[in-house]
Amino acid sequence: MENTKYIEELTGYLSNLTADEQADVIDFYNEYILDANLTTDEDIMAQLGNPKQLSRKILADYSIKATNDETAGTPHYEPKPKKNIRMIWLVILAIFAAPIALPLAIAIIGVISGLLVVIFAVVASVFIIIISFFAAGIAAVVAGLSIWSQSVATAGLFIGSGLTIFGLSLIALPISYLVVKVLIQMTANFSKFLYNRFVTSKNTTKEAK
Amino acid sequence: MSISITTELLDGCVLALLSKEDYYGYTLTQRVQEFSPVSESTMYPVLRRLKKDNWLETYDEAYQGRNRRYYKITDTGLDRLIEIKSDWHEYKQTLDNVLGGEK
Repeated sequence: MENTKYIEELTGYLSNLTADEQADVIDFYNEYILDANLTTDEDIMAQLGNPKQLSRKILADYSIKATNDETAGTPHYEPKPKKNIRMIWLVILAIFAAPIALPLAIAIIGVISGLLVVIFAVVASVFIIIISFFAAGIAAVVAGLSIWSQSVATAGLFIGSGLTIFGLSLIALPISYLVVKVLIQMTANFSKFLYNRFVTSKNTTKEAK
Repeated sequence: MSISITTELLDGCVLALLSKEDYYGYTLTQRVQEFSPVSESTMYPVLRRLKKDNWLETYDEAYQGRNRRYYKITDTGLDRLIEIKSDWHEYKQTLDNVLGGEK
């Protein structure tokens, strides 16, 4: 059989799926290739794209389905932000592999990566602010302890405000984690929307009956 | 000009085809491509989702020493088809009002 090389390569790219899912995909495309009478790898690629492109579409679809399932309450092994980042990445790859106009693809990728840069900037600045609060708190406590012998009242003021700042940074930590999570979720939903809009079907005139 | 078909409408079209007869993957893809230029790689995810939602079921039939997987609409699939059809008619009328219909 000529197409085994194509199928073999496709299987290689699907290693993230379970054995059942892999078998289902491979069965479908094996049958499709035979029924479509695609005898050479060139014929197959003309119809289905190269194995890598096809696998990206398949994986992007699985990943999107997986996050949808998750919101429906099915537990999943990966924590959600990580899963979402993986999905955003897969959608970018799928958009690259999709037969849509290059300028459009570049624009979409630009928007998604712009959002990711914003998220990164927010994460970085929040992280730095928290670190400096931490440091300021510790410094104030240390300063307070060092002047304990001279003035207990001043020392108390320093230690008290130091501990307050310290406590505030501890409160800020889970809040900023939440904000970052929401931002990532929004970007994920947005990429999902883009994926559905541009990749699911080729953009061409459709005539309704 | 380009209008792309939405997921729901594509689901509806696939279910509508299957409500008339059972198809295997290749012929079903061919039939869908007669009215909407979906790519070959679009059909697999669609069929997988429809099966997962129990709107269609599959059965295998031997053909020239291999299996062909046929897709068959279920009762819930028929219900879903009616739902999509009425949604579509409503949507079509709304759009005709906005876009001017035949005139």
